[in-house]
Amino acid sequence: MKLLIEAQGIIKQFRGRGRSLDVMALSGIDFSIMPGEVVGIVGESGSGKSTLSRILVGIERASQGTIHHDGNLVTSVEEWKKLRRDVQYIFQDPYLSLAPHMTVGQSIGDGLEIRGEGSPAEQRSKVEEALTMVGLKPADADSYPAVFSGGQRQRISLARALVLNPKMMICDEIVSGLDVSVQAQILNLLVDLHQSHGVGLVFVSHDLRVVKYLCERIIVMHRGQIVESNDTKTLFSDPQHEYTRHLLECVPVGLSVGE
Amino acid sequence: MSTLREPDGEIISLASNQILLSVNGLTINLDDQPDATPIVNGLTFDVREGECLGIVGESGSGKSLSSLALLNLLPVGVHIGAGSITAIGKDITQSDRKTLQEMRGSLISMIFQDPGAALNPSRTVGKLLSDVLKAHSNISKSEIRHRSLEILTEVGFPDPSGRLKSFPFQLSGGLRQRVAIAMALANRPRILIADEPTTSLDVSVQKGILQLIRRRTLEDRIGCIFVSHDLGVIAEVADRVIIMYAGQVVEEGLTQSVLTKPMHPYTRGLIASAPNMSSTLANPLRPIPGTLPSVGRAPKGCAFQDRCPERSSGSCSPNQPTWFNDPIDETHRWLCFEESKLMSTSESESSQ
Amino acid sequence: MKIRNRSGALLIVSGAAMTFIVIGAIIAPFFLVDPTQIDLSSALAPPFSPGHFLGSDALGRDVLSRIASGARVSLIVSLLGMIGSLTVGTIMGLLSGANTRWLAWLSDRLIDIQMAFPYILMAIVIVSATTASIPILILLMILAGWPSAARVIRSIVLSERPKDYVKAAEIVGADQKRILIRYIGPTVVPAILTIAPLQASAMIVMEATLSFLGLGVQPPTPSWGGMLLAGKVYLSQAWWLTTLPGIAIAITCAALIGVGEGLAQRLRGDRRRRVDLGESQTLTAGAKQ
Repeated sequence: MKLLIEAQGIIKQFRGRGRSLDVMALSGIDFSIMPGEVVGIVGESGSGKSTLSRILVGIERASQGTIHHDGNLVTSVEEWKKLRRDVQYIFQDPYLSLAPHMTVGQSIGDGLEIRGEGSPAEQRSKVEEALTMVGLKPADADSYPAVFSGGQRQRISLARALVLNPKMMICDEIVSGLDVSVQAQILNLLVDLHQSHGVGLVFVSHDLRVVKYLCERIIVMHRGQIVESNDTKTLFSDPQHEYTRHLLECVPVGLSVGE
Repeated sequence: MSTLREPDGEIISLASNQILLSVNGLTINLDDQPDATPIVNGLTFDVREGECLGIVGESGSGKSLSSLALLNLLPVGVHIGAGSITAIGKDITQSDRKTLQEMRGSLISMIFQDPGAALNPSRTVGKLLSDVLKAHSNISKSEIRHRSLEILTEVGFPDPSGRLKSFPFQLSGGLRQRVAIAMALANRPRILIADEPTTSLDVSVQKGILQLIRRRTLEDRIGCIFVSHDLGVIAEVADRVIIMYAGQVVEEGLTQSVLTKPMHPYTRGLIASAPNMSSTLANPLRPIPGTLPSVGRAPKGCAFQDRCPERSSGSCSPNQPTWFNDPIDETHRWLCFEESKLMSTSESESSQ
Repeated sequence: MKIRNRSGALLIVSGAAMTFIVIGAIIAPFFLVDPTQIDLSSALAPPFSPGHFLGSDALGRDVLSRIASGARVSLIVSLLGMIGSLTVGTIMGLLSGANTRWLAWLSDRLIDIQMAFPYILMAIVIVSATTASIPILILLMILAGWPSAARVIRSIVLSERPKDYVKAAEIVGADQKRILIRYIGPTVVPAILTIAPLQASAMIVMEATLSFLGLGVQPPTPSWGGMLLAGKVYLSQAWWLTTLPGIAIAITCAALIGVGEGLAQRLRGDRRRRVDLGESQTLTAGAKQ
């Protein structure tokens, strides 16, 4: 099976302003994703995980390195467009990721309109279908984002991605600002989408507990580098890198019912 | 694995310690909306010296507002409708501004979620501490310096004398929070309120801060109130916990009891929906159905009734629910209508 | 609560004043004496004289009807000038925020150049090159007004561009043009609504200034600036010839600024209804969670 996305030698440097030094956000990352898999990218602040996720979908450009999509090198605008047919992105802040002056239906359906897929009626029905898939009502398409809660807005963002039938969705800390019960609803929705529609996920998070629950494979990032990459079970039972071990030790263990 | 709370596995009983803070029937209402349900409804708890009380809740639970009320720092738009807050004999709800100013920072201190926003960016660490010290006592410059270095060392701030001239923007999130804690503890308060102090910090930094709060609470015999939405953090740091939903306390007791034997359906739902280190897809998260009620629009009586998965028709009425007690741990109680059904459910769970 | 009422009051009072002025300008001339009618027998009559409620000028022309007719000119010029200036300003502002570097750079430089040019000098040059007439006057208004509108629009575009919803639009396939028009464009509408009355107000003063300098509306068409020019020599004898048109200018400007400020407060005022309950997720009273 061909790799869906293959990133090689990704380096991202931010130029320092004035007297500040240059920042190496990413120093040589090799990362690849297979279609349909659920990968977690875990790290603390400054690890570069969000930068990497943005580079994978092209909303930020790497200083050096290459991205291949289905085996083809991605450089031109056309090639990024092709990549974005297969890979969609969900943002962290639900209050900034939807245009406040567009209805939910317009936000979700704009991608379809741009691609010219089907008549307006067909597009509308796809939008409604996407809303149902994420647990909202088709009538919500006519409302504005302002009336929805954070959790609902994340669902709308998911619908916007899903309506374009992507093979993979990159989720950048999408549940981090949500209440626990709402977070659980979104996580279960992601699991459901993966299991029933085969949509792959790249799940970026600082919360090891969530990543452990959701992902088959995990990469651990620290200060711009991948320090460990393994399947979930092995990573937690037999961590190799010192930083991974340190991270695991710091996660609050909690108490289980019946303990 | 032993948690921070129980270094040798024993549950420490603090029942004999002095009560430092006593909140009784605290009710906070929205201004100009007499029909709205209170945002905080009849909150009652005590905090003793050397103990850490955790307050757990989600958005709209009233947990943050309650902590602000303890310092009478409510924002515009809400007011205390009923109840009393007594800190070492003084009633905060009745105190005038001068008394309150004297109390804040010296008797009762608070640390917040975002240390970056809580520290004045134009003041150095040394100046921040001296501001706080000077506000509450007439001490000399050399005493200020001595005390500043002392408290910075106590909170584990590296190289205090060298860093007195640092500005907050030069410090990491974890160090900023340590400075904020130092400022809060500088005047040796009896009561410390921590409102989600580690939520915006990295997990490796979080551990150190939790250990610090825990240690200072025990050693200085402070009464600590720790507000959080993260059950894992609460399990690490709180001796007792109260669970709030839509302004009501729905369950309370020793952390050990509440988290291992949750009785209220909301507590159970919260635990079932939070992923921890032992969650797997084979044992999926069970989110609580429905959504949180809007501010001021909670159902009357039991605030959780619309979403309760264990609701039985007929017995969950618009009347007020009552308290039920755990026979094993007398401090563990929860608010409900039917005791027997819940008890049998818990028995069947523990026998699995 | 008090603050909201105050902004509502401002908008209502200013709006009412402007409506009165506009309606007055439109219909009053039908009910008043011909403003160009010369009647030397009643020259320089003070206000409250018979037949001349606000007095008459050196040629016996009625001041009240001249003010009313002058209002027409001022309002037309400033209204059309404002529309033109905002149109050009919005286009240039959006271009300044475009992703294409050279386009944005070019637009920025044009704004800077136009802003640096002293407008009276520019007026003199243009009027000398062409003629003094109302269309030229409107052109001058547009030239003077578009850069400041463009700057406001540009700053909005630049602050909206890095936001996530714009990036999200890029990812679903929107090109720069679509982003500027469909995504960022509508966000500048509130700003345009608040700038508009302020620009119109400035243009009223500009028109009066230019007419006062003889570069604007030419006699015998009555204009406020022209009245100031003509009445200047009679300042000590007939104060009403300059003071009354001056008051008319001041009231109209104040009313327009009031409308602009009132609108701005209205649009800002919506945010005041949020009660900050100190939760880790901000709550808006009444919003679902």
